[in-house]
Amino acid sequence: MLTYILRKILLGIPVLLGVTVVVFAIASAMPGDAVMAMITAEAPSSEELIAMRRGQLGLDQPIWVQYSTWLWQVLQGNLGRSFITGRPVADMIFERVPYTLELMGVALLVSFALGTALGVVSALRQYHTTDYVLTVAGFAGVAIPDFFLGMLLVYVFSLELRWLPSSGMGTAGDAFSLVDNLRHLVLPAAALALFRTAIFMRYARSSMLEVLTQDYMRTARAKGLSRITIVLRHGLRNALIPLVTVFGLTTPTLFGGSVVVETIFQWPGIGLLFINAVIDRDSPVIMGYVLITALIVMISNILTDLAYGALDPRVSYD
Amino acid sequence: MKRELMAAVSMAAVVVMASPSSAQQSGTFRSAMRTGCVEQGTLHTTCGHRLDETVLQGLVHIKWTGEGVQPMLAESWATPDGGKTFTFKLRSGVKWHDGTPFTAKDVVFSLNLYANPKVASPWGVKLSSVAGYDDFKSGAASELRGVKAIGDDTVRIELSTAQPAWVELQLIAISIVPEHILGKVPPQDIVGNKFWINRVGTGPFIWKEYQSDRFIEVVRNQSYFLGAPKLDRIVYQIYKDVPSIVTALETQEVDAMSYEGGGIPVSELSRLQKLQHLTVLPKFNAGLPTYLQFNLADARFADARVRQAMLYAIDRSAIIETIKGGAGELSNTLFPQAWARPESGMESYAYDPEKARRLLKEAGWSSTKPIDFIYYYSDQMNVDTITAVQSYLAAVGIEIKPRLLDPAAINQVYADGKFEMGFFAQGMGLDPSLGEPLVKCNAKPLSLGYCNPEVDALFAKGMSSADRKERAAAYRAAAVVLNREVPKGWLFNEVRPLAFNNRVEGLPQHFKEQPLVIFNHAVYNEVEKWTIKK
Amino acid sequence: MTDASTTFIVDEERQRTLWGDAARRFLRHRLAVAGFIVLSILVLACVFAPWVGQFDPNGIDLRLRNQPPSFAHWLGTDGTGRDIFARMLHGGRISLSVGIVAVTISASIGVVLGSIAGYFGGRVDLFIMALVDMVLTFPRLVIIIAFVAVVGPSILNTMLVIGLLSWPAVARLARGEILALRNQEFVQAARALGTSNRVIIIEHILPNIMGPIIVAITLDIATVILLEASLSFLGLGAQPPTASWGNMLRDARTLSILEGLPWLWIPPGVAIALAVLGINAVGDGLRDALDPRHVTDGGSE
Repeated sequence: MLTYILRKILLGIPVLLGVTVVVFAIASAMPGDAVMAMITAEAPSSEELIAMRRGQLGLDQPIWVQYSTWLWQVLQGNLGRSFITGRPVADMIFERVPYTLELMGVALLVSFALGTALGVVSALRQYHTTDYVLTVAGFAGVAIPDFFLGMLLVYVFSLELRWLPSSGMGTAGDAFSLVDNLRHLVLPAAALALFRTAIFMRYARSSMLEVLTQDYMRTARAKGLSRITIVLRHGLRNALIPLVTVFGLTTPTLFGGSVVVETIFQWPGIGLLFINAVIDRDSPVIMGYVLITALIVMISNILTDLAYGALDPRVSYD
Repeated sequence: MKRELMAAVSMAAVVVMASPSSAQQSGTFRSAMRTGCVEQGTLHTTCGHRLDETVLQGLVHIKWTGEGVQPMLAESWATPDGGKTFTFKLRSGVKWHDGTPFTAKDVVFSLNLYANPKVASPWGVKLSSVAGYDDFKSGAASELRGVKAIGDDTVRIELSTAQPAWVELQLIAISIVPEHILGKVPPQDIVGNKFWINRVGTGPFIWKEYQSDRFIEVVRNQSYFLGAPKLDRIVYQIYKDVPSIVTALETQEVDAMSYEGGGIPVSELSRLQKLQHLTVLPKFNAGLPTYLQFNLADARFADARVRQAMLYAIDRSAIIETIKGGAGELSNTLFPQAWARPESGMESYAYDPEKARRLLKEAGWSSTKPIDFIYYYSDQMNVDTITAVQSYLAAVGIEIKPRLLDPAAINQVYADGKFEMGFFAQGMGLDPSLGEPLVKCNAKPLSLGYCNPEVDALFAKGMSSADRKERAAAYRAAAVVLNREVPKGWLFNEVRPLAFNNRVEGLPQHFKEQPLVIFNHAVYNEVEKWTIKK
Repeated sequence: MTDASTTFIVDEERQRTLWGDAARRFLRHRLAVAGFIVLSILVLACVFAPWVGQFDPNGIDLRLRNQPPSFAHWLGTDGTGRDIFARMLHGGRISLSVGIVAVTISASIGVVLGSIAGYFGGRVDLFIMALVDMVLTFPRLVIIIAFVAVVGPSILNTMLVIGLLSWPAVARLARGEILALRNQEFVQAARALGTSNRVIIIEHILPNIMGPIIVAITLDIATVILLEASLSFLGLGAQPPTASWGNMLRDARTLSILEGLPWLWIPPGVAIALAVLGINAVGDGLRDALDPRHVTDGGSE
């Protein structure tokens, strides 16, 4: 088991480096750089000023030098400072990770729980109306783009009904209150959850269906166990196994956030920070974000494999 | 068990939904602000200047009526030699928010900071008239020769040439920062310094809290020199895009529209005007001319007849009537200020596609490849305008291919010399002189090959007097030349519709009296006198 | 028990071919057939857009802007007077072709690389899987924005970059399927006969794995259509004045339009929903038809 983990980590390092190299290359190839991004028509800068600023930021060096400087810094545990705001990249990112985690975490958990439950119900009620209704609802759920659903939700619940706030993660300037925060969380989480619930529901349904036809289910029934016991104790546990993989595949988005939903709801998450960094050509922030996301993907892949191994007795690693 | 679970869930739902929003708390004024305006700091941003009205301050601020300046940290000033030397008497007894006394040392330090080449502030150019500026910028001198402190409460500033209106036009852009804090920071570390997310100023409100991309909270300064403010606090709520602000205005989650980065979209006005709690100003002059930008070094646009033809080809009145919902006016020259334009004597470029085709033929226009047409604004109204422009130009045989670019890419295109044509705007509401970078000989990057020494001379003349009548004469003459030569394709003078919640007493009233948007400057609008209506 | 669908087959001698079986199974799935019909109508309408929608999608008429549906303009007009129906059809061409081309690119790369990895194993496998991991780790949005900024915004470039980012999933799938088949007897037999590896892969293995792959890439088309909509919302994707379903939907960004001018956004929204629904239904049907191991989940029994 340990060797397996070590091997995965070792193989992951060149992948990590490769990702950073490619992203750095593409980001540097974009027209304009951070200094260009800061010039506006109302405050045009002289050429000497531009050249000097470039020198200060190291943007006048060849690309491979810039990359190695960044890499060396990272190996010393320093993610550098933003070209645009001058603040430490680590501060900027970790300030916002909790907000993204909160939103994506709630959305994922709710959609996983709800989706699995509905999928199981749908499987148990195969060929009945419930199944058809849920299946069609599932199809519909994946056909509506996030941002569109978000706008509809704001329209109905914020503007027309005035039940919930339209944006932000809490009433600005007031001390943090859990209730206030939750009120702000409902709509963006719902916008994110619909699509994912439908996906989980589909996977849960087909997984449960497959389990239901297995021999051991028939054995349990023959033994005279009550339906509930059969479903919950024998069926569900096995049906959950492939679902764990699916869930594991979605965990990277926990940290990546959803730019679209964050824009509509002004949720101060990491997705928004990142898009702005790309537009502003803020390399340190871009690279910091990419590095952390890549690390998280790598770790979550390993954890998913381990979880799968723990749940499915047929699988073993050595 | 299941029933209890259901009950618990529904109770939680009711609690969550029924909690009253605390946005209605008395004494708090909530103002919308666009993102990206705080962390770089006042010396390096082109927005966020509300904070320079309430927390940091300048020696003088422009008044909200647009005419005259309000003495702030400078109590009075005199220029006995007609605009070459200014002696400022500073207000006494003023303290920074951390208790340190404010003195002339802070003023000298601040001006030097703005002009310091190592700080690389784009606003340093506001001090270009100060004696010794060029030496300081080139490194020959280590400070601004023309700025001297006399004792603790007087500052004397000497200019290299007399400019009677220097205070009203240039000094108002400078904020005074604390020498005892920023004096310890190396110049290249000023931008993005942690001071900017925890500012210490002299203004009516004290910086309390900043949460990135969420809000800035400032609270009442009891010992403010113009009197303690009536408001308890101001919360600047940060938004990434305009539609969210519009929604928040309607739900009363925010009280004031920000005018940096776009006003209320025209399509939303009728909806907002029906709301009792809002004062809507649909025709607020933005001081923002929009125009077609040409690269005159490109052979296709070098002939003035081609540029004039394009103006004749576009039905600008129809665009205003339809796409802009009647808001805005036709622009036929650079200046959005009515006093800087002549009453008559300018070509109106009324819609005349026949004339356009004739002019194009005279000029020998032969189009083969489509023109690379760059634009930056992506809101619906401007996108529709560009679509219409494309259609009108196509009807006379000019094909443009619109391309949306972000600022970094646009500046790179300028720098590479690859710019062909585009759609742009210039915020210059404060004064006609702000239009100079667009048309001055060889001014990079915006004059794009236009050079007329007569125009340059007229601009210089405009700065050489403080008398509005004299200045108007110079600018009106320049307006006629620019109207005739069309270095830019003048399109519209834009409006920036704003809306304010009536519960903030003083807010809508002052903006009703403000003639136009005053970009990039702190505006004195008596914020210390505003209250919240019960 | 004979099933009624066999009456579709007219031949005297019933040829039980692989594809014939698949077609039969597909036709049994009611939802899939319905989806297929809807999709076909949509696709044909978009392909014949200039004839079906008589107006020029870029023909502006400022005096007739924001008109509700009428006899002249069946779905009304937009902010510059352009006919919505025509724009929806032409926009469909863009959205659908982005979906199809991007998926074709990703499927081609994915199947080839996945097959090589699965069949040859060893270091080749390791290398290709590392590549897969790498591409999967890229933050999708930044690569798209940066790529488009570097090579210029055009529909072709959008198709290219989406395709280049989507191949890993297909590759993993192909590899998994091949791993299962690699040691089957028929493959070993072919190898024993001395058949070259290339022939084995192309003629023996690929046909057997095409089933799940076809299902996967069909569903991918729906994903790409939704991705294009999101990209257009962020201002990437098709540039104005060109219409695509995504950038027509972007109009609904302001609430006055959402409430007051529903004909601006309902047509593209419905079009996207129908396309995605249709594709998903067809994909479900294909899964039943092509993947013999998959448990049939009813719908029409």
